[in-house]
Amino acid sequence: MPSTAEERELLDELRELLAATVEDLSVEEVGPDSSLKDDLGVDSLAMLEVIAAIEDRWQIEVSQEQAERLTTVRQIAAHLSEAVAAPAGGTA
Amino acid sequence: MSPRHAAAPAPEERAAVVTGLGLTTALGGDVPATWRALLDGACGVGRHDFAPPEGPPQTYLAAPAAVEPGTVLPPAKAAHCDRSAQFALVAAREAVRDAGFEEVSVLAASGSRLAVVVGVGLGGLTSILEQNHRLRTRGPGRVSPRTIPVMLPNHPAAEVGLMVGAKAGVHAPVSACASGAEALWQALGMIRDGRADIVVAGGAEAALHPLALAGFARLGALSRRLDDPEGASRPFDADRDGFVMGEGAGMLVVESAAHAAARGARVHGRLTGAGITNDSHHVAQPAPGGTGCAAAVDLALRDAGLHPEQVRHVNAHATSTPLGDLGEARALEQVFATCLDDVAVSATKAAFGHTLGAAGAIEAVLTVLALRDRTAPPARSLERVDPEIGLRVVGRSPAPLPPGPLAAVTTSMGFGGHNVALAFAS
Repeated sequence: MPSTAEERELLDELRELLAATVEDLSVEEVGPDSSLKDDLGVDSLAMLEVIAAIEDRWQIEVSQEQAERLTTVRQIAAHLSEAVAAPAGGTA
Repeated sequence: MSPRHAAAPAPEERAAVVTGLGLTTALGGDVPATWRALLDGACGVGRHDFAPPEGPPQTYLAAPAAVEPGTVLPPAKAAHCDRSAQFALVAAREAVRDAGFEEVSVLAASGSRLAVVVGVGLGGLTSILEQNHRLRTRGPGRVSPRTIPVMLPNHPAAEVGLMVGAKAGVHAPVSACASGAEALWQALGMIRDGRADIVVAGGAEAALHPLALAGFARLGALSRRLDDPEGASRPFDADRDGFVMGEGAGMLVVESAAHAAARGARVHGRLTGAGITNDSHHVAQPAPGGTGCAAAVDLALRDAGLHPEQVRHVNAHATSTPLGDLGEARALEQVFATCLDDVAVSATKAAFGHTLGAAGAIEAVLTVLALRDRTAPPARSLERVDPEIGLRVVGRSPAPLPPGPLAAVTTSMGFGGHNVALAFAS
């Protein structure tokens, strides 16, 4: 799947956020299709922190049901581009 | 083989030696920087503004850390820790490397015989208040999922335990400003009991927050010498008027003499005795005459098999409060009555403030360094020793310690009546 410049920028930003939030993880290790749990070692507590960091960074709310469906970096990026493009009542 | 079933080790093998040292203070981010600055007469106290989330800033005297711990730890690790645990990790990492374990993982291989004891005073205060602010302004859904682990008083101990892979036990003594010293008391016991071969022990504190500062100010405990920051923390001085809050951590690798010898470790000094008492007198004031403190020093000396005349150096708790310093002076005058002029008393909080739960451990590191380098560190702010106090307080210049075998004592006291004394030997 070819990605636009905008998507790549979002992916890069996400990779940096993950590296800054998850211990012992570098930006280089985070690929767009990395599985958060299986490839990046994001356990349940770390996942809560990743979601909290995303909520703070993009000023959105991610419900638990939504969070459970986000298993790869690309899925998070797709969710973000939707949620940020159409902030349904989401305010800072 | 469990030590409980082993033949009792010979007393000499059960002795505890210090093989690693770590510090982060207002004077420097590690042991060499702190020790050099201390001997040079540097002072880490300044005027700083502190503002609560919604409220005007207030100027206080404070001694913030010279090196931000977040700049020397992996970013994700730092983000997951209260500042107190960040300091603990920085100092523990230095101590472990200093003990000859270049890679922390090498140390973890001996995990089942490795323990950690790290005390705090106020603990995760800053994180608690930050998350409380998020709760109030943004709702429960925006509170950090790590709120609970980082607010617990065992948080720095647990983080250090994880870093080094300690499986023989991780403990967090809490005795206010005596916590760091109590950690070493406990470490000594673990080595002697055979529970561990190596204990990474110390204390950490990061409570430079407007609430803690206001609380201590309301108690009348802080110096009001805002126009003279570098002269504000002046323990044992006739014009002392309170302490200056600092922050940081001190960490020691305490090891059984047998284990250290077997791996050919360099030994900085020996932890030869420890004593603990409680005043049972008042929640915040020392017992009159420093009787509880004197009893703790007596116990430590007896535990170490020392006569008072063999002690040449004391690193005193000496926070610079009028009552506290006087009580401690009475205690030391009593214990060392026959040799007062031979004991060089250092009051190092003059340079980096009162680091609360870290103080006892930071000062234990400094005591080991004083013995190693035969130099009692100075207190540049000292102008005139209180005429009520009969101690030989080291003033503006470092005081050389005599040749030959050396012994030293360091004291710590905390709200709640805690008294801890530790005895070290060269």
